Amino acid sequence: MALHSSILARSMNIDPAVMQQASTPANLNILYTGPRMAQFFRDHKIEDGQQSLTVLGHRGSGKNRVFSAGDTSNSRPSIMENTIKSLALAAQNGVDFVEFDVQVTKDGHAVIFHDDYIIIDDKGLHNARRIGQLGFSRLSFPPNRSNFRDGLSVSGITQCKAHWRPHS
Amino acid sequence: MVCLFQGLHNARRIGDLTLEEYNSMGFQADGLEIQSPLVRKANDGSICKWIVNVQDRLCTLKDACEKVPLSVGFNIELKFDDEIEVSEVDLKWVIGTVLKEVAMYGKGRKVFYSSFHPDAVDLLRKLQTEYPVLFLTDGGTHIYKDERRNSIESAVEVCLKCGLQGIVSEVRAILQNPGLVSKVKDAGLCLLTYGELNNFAEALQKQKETGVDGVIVDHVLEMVTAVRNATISDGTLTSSDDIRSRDISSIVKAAA
Repeated sequence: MALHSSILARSMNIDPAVMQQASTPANLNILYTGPRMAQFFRDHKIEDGQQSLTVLGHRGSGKNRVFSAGDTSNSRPSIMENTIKSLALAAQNGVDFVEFDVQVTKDGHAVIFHDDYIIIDDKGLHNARRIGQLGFSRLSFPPNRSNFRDGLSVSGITQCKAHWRPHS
Repeated sequence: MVCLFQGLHNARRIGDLTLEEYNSMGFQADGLEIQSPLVRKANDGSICKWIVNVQDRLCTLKDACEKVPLSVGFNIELKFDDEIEVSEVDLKWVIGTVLKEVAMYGKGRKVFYSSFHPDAVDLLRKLQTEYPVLFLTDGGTHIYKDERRNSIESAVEVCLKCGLQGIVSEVRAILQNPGLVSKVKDAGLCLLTYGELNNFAEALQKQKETGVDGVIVDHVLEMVTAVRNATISDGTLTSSDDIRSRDISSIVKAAA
């Protein structure tokens, strides 16, 4: 274990002492297996000899649904997923754990975000109304495997962008 | 990591962003104008505004460690793109960074790791022994090139081979074949589930009966209430309109 962590620390340019701390528990017998693992999830949930389910909040207080243009939403109120508000509210509402998605930025910070791509609205380019006009609705982005099959034309997108002019 | 969107600057991989760039995206703080609103693709491939009732800014693992009450545990899922082959160097970079931050900011919180990536969970186990590692699987509801991802049976093998503590499965795989639960338990592993059906108390009740350890849910207050009520009454989980309406109104109130 120590060997692994020192190699990793070197390869990542991290102080080996910090890495050692990261990979070696203060208490060496912590690994949860078998009955210990059951306790890990249920230790505070046993009442009158009855075992209960551990409840985990998905991305905090639930994942956000994605609505395409024209989709009318009569769904429950949503909180921005994978954020402090969403995580803290789930805690307040009594979950045992919050589940969230971690990725790492190129400068080495762990951030909480679900999708493979983060897409920002490019000055109204993605305004729902214009998407149809530009023929954007058939374009697909790779993060979702089911959409990936449809293929992707980067040049098609850039062409659309090149031809797009704001109404002014 | 290669961006498939070269020339399209508004879709970026997290791994290609600096923290500063990441922090500048989406909602900022109340009263501030959003310079870079987030959009997302819908199932039909169209790009839509990311609309929520309660906004908050994107956050970091450090933020979560510092701001979320210590009483709640963290299930940290490590995300890797299914569509590309992630190099070992990238796996180690991501995992090492996360382990380092949890060691620095974890403060004794209950934490466990999970990932759909079989090599990632193996590394997570090899690089630390303090926190449990669970293997995430669709349980065969979606088929991948990597056989290790395609069934509960394969997931059990991965766990035993790598010394993992359990499995997080798509709930449909478990409900369609409840016999799988004992296969997982007999291997000394714990079993959690995720998926849309976990927002129905009846589905939770079935899982409780078969010995599932935990459920990842979207409708948090409703499901917490159903599980708690079942524990203090006759042990049966049922949903009710009453719970549903309480859930919605209290979510609005608490998050406003």
